Amino acid sequence: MPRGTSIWKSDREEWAGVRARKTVLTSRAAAASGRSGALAPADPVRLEIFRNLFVSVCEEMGIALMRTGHSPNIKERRDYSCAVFDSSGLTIAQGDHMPVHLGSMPASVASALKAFAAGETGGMRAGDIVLLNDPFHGGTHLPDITLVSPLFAASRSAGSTHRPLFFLANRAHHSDVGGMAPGSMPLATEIYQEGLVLPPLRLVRNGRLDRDIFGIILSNCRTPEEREGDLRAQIAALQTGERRLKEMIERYGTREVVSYARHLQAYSRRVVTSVLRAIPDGTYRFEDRLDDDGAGCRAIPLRVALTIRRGRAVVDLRHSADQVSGGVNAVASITASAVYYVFRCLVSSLMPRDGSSAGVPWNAGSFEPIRILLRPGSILAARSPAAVAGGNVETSQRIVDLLLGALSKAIPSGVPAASQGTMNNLSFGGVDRVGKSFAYYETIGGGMGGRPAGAGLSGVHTHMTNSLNTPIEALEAAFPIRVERYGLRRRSGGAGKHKGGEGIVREIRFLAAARASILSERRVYAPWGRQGGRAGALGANFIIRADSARRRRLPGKVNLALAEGDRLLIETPGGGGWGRPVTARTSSRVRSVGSRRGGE
Amino acid sequence: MLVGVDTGGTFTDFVLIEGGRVVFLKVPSTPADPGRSVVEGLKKLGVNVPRANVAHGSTVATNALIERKGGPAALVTTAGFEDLIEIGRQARPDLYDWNAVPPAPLVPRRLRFGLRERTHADGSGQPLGQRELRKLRRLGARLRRLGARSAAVCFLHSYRDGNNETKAGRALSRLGLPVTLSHKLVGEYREYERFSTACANAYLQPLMGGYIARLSREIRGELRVLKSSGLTSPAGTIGDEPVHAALSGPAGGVLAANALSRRLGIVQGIAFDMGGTSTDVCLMNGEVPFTVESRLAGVAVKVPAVALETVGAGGGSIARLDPGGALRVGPESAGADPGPACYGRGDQPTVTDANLELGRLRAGELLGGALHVDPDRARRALGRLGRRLSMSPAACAQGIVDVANSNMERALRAVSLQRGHDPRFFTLICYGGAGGLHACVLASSLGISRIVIPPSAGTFSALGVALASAGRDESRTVLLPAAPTVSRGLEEVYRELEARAAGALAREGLDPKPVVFERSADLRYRGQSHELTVSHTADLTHAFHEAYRRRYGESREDSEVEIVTLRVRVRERERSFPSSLRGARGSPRALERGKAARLAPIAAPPPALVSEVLIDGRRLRVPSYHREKIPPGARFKGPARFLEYSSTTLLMPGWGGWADAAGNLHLEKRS
Repeated sequence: MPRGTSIWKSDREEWAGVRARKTVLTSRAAAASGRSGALAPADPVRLEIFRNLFVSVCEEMGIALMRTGHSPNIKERRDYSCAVFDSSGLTIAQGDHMPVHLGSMPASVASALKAFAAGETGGMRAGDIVLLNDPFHGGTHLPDITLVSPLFAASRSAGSTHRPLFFLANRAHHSDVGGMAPGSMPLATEIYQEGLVLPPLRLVRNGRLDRDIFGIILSNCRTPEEREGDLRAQIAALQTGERRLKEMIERYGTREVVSYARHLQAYSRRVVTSVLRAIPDGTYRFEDRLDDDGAGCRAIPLRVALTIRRGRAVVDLRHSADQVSGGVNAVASITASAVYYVFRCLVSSLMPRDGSSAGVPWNAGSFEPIRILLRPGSILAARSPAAVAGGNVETSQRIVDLLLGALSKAIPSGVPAASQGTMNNLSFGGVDRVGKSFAYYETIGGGMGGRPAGAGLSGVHTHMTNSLNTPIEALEAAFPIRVERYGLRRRSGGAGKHKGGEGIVREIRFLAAARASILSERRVYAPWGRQGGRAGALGANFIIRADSARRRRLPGKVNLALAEGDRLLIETPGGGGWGRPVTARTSSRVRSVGSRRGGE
Repeated sequence: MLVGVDTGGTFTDFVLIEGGRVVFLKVPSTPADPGRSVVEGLKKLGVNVPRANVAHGSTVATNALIERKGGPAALVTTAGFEDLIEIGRQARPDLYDWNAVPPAPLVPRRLRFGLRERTHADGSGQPLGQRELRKLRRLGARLRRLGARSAAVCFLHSYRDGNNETKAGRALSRLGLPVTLSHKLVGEYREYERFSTACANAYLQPLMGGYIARLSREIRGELRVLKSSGLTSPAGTIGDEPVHAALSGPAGGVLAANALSRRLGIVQGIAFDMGGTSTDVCLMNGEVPFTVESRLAGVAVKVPAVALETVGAGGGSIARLDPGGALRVGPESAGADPGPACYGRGDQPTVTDANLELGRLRAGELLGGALHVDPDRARRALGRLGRRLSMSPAACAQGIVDVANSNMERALRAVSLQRGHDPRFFTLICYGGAGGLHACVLASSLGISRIVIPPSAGTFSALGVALASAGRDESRTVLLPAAPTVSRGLEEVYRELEARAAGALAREGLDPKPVVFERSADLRYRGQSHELTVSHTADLTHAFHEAYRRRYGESREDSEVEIVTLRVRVRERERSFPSSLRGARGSPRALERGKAARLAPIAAPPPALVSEVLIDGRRLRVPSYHREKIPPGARFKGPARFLEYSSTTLLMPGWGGWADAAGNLHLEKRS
């Protein structure tokens, strides 16, 4: 094992380190012995009822957050996650509409627990809430602020240091946390340029808000009122979750709730293990690369060696490139989220298609059979002060491709070809003709890779994102721009038995001077095909100046000054094809085979 | 005389209201030709079909969209945006399922055409020129060759200026195709939703037009069709605007539930309709809530529709053991075919089979014995699943019911909290075939202490269809700051919309005198992308802050408010709810006039039978009563069962019940 390797094997060990891990194990042992031995077998009915209960605690926290939050990001785009954890900080259930939070929520709780471990700082007490956004201590990127609170047994009064029964956490994407550009996701080379970094801090102590900490945060954001509203909403949501958990404990008793929390983890582990068992044992390697980091470093290799053995997976990513100066570095928790996303999809695709997979809670049990090996200082486990804003939106997509590539060697007929592999981030801002300033950010869909079951979808967001587009009629009413073209990019999908989906062509004319930046990938290395399918078309960015009819190609990551009348033309990548393309001569025969299959 | 007809997947329900009598009837649906069961039922009711006055809730449009049986339709749109309806909102159908396939776009690529024209956000732009119009005329032959039977014209920003659409539409009409103009159907911005709705309309026109024409040949009196909004339109109008009927399925029940709540003085009610495949839930605060953000079968349908939530749990929901070892119920349903195991064709145990095994349902009781059920087959199915769970068939049945209840509880809770309400203060209005068996347990776990179950709960929706008033909705996006200076401008738009709606209604033959005008507006804080609809008042800003606070807990008084869309509804006065529904199926009987007020309590009548029912693991002797024979004021203590033609109710221990003069059962949790 190379020096300096950190081992990820479920959220348990991420935060742990040797000492803390010992704490977990001993407390587990103590808890188990207190409950007179091993967990009694689960009742299938209770299991399902508790699944509903724990998931609804997360849902209701989410509803409370959405209802009381201030910013559109929370209320409308629902860019947040809520989760419940057991006394060791292991996930029991988590709202799962944000793939990028799958593996990173537990890291936040782990980090909070580590920072406030009993003994050194007195531990987390009833009425405490810990806040953090530091990507290198349990965060993802700076705009994501996470709050964590403990829940103690009812008999314990405020200030109790007895071990909590559960932890609750929620995370919201804040629209600004300072830094060199509004929105706090600039093309930066250091984290400090991206915004205010908050390590785990006790925002609420013993039920009282720490005004000093609150003041520092608000003074460092461009929209302090909105930040205050959103943070208060996060606090209110934790309280909602706490109330619901307490009701559950009242109705079913502590022992039952705690033991079914463990049953649910075991349940998810069984599901994931059964899916991993369906994959032949072996080690599968794959390499893919990022085009560049936007700061001069090109062809950045990412490598995986995926070992499947008897229902367990080891994802070794240590041989990927070193971290770079541009903002495409991923912190460990983002990498974990992308890896978990792939396995999550695998569960859906390998389980019976009767809706079963939809309800499987994604928790510590699901992570347990999956070990992730990372090398700190690499682009997939970046160390401070790397810039990380693009790790979330671009590198996470490539990690998915990497894993899919390796898996496709293990189960060729079970995995799709590469999808567009980028989010095509476009942001622009300026001052319009009447002197009002404007700013806008969008991501553009593209081609999905051809799939074992059929062609890839065209013009959709794939893998780590699913955000909606803004209607053109809304855009043009709000900003000095005109959309000239928005359509599917014909013939951009990779050829194959199941074609890759088509990318999108989007052309925007600026009716006022503006500054724009594009953060995009797959402009150099195309989304690959599988099983003989061809690669999808590369994406491309162009500018057409007002005074010229010629279009000029732009790099994948670029900052631009635009004059009135200039046009940006963005062609997003197509998906890779799946299966050998059918030539005219053999098509009829293959089609009949295909239809026979379809009828089975 | 008025007949309400509600077509469902399995049964077509009828209610006949004539003077003081109400008659209910259920006949099996005829999915291949849904009109046949409509006519059959009317004949069975003894109605003179050619002269009948019928209000009809139809699923023809809904099914055509789901099964993609409409079209082919063509789309003419702004050049450069031909793929917009295929791209939609860039969202994939399932976040974690890389094999999920969305339904095909309603108009295939070869039938989508772009014309050079452009309207801008401020209404200025480039008119549709002669060259483009000539291009359109030449398109005729090609459209015929490709088999297009209808067309939609959808241009960007046509809500601002619809002239280009109108010109293109005229040219297309000359080709002999029925044409839908997007700005006429939906006067609102957000192009994908407007285009998609227009395409859906064009897609449905040939099919729905045919259905309506056939039915109108039989029913030559008055035939009105229920729209998703809960209003009705004459059959001819629906032939032109079929998309308005696409989400009408659950509207009838909610209308009836709301009318009943009003009559009983219930301010906060939850309409709870548990059917065979799913359960519809609607929160009513004295009125029926609406939305214009519906989706159906992968398509945005931006017409006003009753706002409700659907849970994949019904009598036919299938129970199974999943790979992780949990007992799952639904969302897959045995539907009407094969149906629950006890219907004699399927082998997978469902919620209905579980209720049968527990003795909550009994063979010979379903549809007055007309529906044959086989308890042994149900038990065998439960036994097979039970063995895998190491449970007896009875324990397995109890487990299935518990899980189904927990699924519904989670959904009901989320629905009410999302809208900013605490479910505990609501009364459950329970109808649909399967709801009465689950209502008490569900209410208990939500902290609800009052339930009302109307008579003929299984055909309640048909009553709502009959009660629906004729009317029209019109809307237009204005995008104005909410300032006092714009109020005159708003008034002008409102008047224009009202004139348009009233004009259309007059052409449809509606008497203009008893007409009600309702104005509302969609507002938001500047910068947001979702709106809340509030009834129009002089101070819209204030009304919006209030609505926002109710919905989201907090308002932002210092933020700028924007008026996005104005809405107008013009409709007949509401039809009055029958004072009593104590008419039995097929045996019309005179109604007693009576208020639903509490009556002097009288003792329960002797039960029709006493049978064993499994409740919480105990075998209890439970009396059963025929609902038609329960005298007003009669009181009951749980456990008890109430039987009627189309539904069964289980009053649980710890609950009490009484019947009012109108035949409603009131269940109350005993403290």
